[in-house]
Amino acid sequence: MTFEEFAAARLGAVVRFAAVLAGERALAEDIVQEVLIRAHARWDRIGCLDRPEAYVRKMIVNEYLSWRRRSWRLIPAGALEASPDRPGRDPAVDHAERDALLAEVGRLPRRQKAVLVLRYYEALSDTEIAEVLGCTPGTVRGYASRALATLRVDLSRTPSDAVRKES
Amino acid sequence: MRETRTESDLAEALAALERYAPDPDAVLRGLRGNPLRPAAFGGHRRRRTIRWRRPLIVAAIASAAAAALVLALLVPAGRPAPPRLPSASSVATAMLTAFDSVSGYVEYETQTGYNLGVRVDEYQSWSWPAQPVPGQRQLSRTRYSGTSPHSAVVKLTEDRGTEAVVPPRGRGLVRGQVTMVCFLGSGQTGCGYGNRNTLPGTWSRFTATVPIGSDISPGAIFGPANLARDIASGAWRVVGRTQLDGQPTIELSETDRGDNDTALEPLPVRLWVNAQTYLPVRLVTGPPDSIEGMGVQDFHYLPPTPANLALLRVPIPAGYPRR
Repeated sequence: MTFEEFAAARLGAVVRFAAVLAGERALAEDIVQEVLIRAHARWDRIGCLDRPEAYVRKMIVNEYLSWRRRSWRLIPAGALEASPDRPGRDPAVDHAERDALLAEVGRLPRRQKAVLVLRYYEALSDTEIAEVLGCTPGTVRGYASRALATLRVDLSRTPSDAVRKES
Repeated sequence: MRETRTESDLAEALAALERYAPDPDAVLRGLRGNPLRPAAFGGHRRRRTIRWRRPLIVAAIASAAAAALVLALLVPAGRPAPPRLPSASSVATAMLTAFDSVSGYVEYETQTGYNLGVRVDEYQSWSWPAQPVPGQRQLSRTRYSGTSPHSAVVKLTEDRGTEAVVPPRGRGLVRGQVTMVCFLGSGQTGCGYGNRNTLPGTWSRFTATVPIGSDISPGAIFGPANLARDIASGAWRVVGRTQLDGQPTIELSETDRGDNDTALEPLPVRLWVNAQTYLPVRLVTGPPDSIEGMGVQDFHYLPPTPANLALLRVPIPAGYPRR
């Protein structure tokens, strides 16, 4: 798969994933652009992988987790747009509880949030998340467990694929 | 108000964040106009970010060597060899059998969360039967204590009981009866569950969608099948034998895969299994002083005596009216 083919076929899904992870448009755009620049430079290797998108998704997570640790990075110009931390700014969202939940999600430590997004948005199993993040399933469950306890999410306690969105 | 949510609520809320997705065409246009773009996009390559991994590795090796030296000096030569440790796979096999033996018990679990070393929440949960099967009636109860927007002090907030018939496998949620007591003085404006808000100082009983099982039920995050599979696959290693709350236990620790490009820092996860019954006793995730938090879960398995089954009923405090 060439970079151009990847961009045409999968970029939409990649930017949606970045948006859910970042929770704001400007940051998502910056992260995707940064990742695409680096992915393009290494595409001779990434393009040969069975699932280039999975690798790019991993790059997105890495970029998100390391974003504000970099001294050269300026605050994205669009960072003051409506975000989940400012419930009520987006008229499309009128469900108060969802806003409250998203506000709490936005306050989670980034690693916990990344695990939740991979688990409940990307519908990956803990083992698959561990593959993406290069850690053990127990680490994934540890982060998920604390995040769910903080959010007061009652676990369904059956294989959670039953409640995840269809990928 | 503190709202109890389901995993479905979380999945739907996260999906709503797709609205922040930038236009893919704008992203590509931004690439072509980016002054830091690589040569292939008509610019120059960005200087690599400096990573301090190698000095850290050297420091880690040095401290490990120092620790080994101290240990060698402290442990007298000729000391009798410790009892032979079981293999992780044999522990996993024994655990699955052990869970079957207590499937009809009341599982009692406490889970305490710490953030930067400070206790931030506590759950006490009772669930019966411990390993529910479809068609069975299941009772569960959760007492939640937490902080509030106005206070960092952990206070008893709600006591909630649920009763439902276990649905067919693959379905984690079912309609059931909820009894909710919302305590005065927690700092919360109410205790939410589903579409119902129970005001502080009152209790309510209503029908809602409820989850089935407990944290160590089949399929749960730390369910026996998950744990046993991970242990058997070598994801955990047996660390040693120790006494925990007066019980002889086998301590296991998750093995770090040590990937070079890991996105998540390894989170220490430790599990203590009773050395005689092979039932989990304690699970600790995370370091105590981390912003990522530490969770301590203690598990107890109570025979289904009338006294233990009574623990599943939510007591209504005197003077609390039903709303």
